[in-house]
Amino acid sequence: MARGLAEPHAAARSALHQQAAQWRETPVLLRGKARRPWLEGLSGHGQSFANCFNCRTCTTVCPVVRLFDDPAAELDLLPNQLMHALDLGLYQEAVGARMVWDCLSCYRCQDACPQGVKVTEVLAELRNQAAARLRPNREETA
Amino acid sequence: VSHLLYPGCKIPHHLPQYGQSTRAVLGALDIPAPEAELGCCGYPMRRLYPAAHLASAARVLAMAERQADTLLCLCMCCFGTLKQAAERLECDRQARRRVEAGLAAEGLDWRGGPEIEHLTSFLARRLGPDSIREKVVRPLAGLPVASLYGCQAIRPSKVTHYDDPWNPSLLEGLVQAAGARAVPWPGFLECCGDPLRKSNPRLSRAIITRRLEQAAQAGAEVLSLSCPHSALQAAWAWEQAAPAARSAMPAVALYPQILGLALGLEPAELGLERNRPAADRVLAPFSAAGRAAAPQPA
Repeated sequence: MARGLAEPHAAARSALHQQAAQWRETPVLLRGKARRPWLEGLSGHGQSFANCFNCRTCTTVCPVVRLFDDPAAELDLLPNQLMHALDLGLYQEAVGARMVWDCLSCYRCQDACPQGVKVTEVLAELRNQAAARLRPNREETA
Repeated sequence: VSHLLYPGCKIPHHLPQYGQSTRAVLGALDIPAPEAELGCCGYPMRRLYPAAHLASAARVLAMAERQADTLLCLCMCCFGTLKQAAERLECDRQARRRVEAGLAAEGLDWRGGPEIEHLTSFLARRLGPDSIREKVVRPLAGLPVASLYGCQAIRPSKVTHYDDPWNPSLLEGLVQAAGARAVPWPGFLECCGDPLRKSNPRLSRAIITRRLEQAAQAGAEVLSLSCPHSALQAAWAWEQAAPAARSAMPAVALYPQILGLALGLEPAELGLERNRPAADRVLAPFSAAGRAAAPQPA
């Protein structure tokens, strides 16, 4: 079946992921004003990670996490850990995690979250933000 | 009340049997639903260029609204995407202003959009299982059917309002209306893996293969799908599987194909021969020709 049109997209995504993984190797804790450029790129939905109280429901219901015997080894950070990393200001560490790039956007985490964290939207915005940083000439996303 | 059928981009080329069986079923139920060329709903761009997604979705909805009260989606991802876009345009004035400027260039405007329904939510809620049952002439008695809910249709539930996100019954009700037996199975609310098909095929294939295994293990002979993405995933898993694994897979059918048989339509009218994993063997015995060939009980 011809699905060739999507191939450049897949290549771009894989390049983005590799760059993001390099960020992850040198974790930087961003505090105070240094957080601003990251936070400004996120919408209200994207910033809802701050409401997370780490109950791990998102991780429990995630179908990607459930695929692996040792999900932390395969995905770097689990959804609840991602929310926690963002709250700590570890943005680059978070965006380099494979969980962000292997998210199915199936919305199970977001629908289950008792705190109203838009988990799926947070991950999508992190991907978009990484793409915008790696390809600065790209049109700004909404 | 007028309806407009929106097959989206995938169905006409990759999965013509979904469009074909839907047209046949709507014809048999006397529901006029002309098709319109509306363009892309924006789903493929949703995760990459949110602005482009919103503009595409608004364009589809604005054009549809001029032609009908209700837009009938066949793809669960079109349905979810259009619902999300309509919600966003309702709540986000800034985004709406940007979209309106784009629409004006084409002589369109944003008036709130038509009612957005998926084929299954339309059949279950607007028509109702009882009125479907009245038109069933050949119930698929005893056939065990598992149904897969689409992620984008059922979640986020506060936006899509498709069914109860943790305990839905809409698709099971429709399967029972066709006279078949709805099989409970653990994978009914899970993803088919399509979003990762290009970027992580290993993971994507593991997910759809697991869904097919779960349905078979639960005793389903047919896995009923209502989204082109999951149907294409199943066909892909089937193509890649070894012969032994293929024979263990349940048959896959689009819901209108199942309902069509119960309404007395023939397999060829429903494009049943195109399904992968093949569904003819399991479903053809329920057609008129299949029943004529079967030995009659004494």
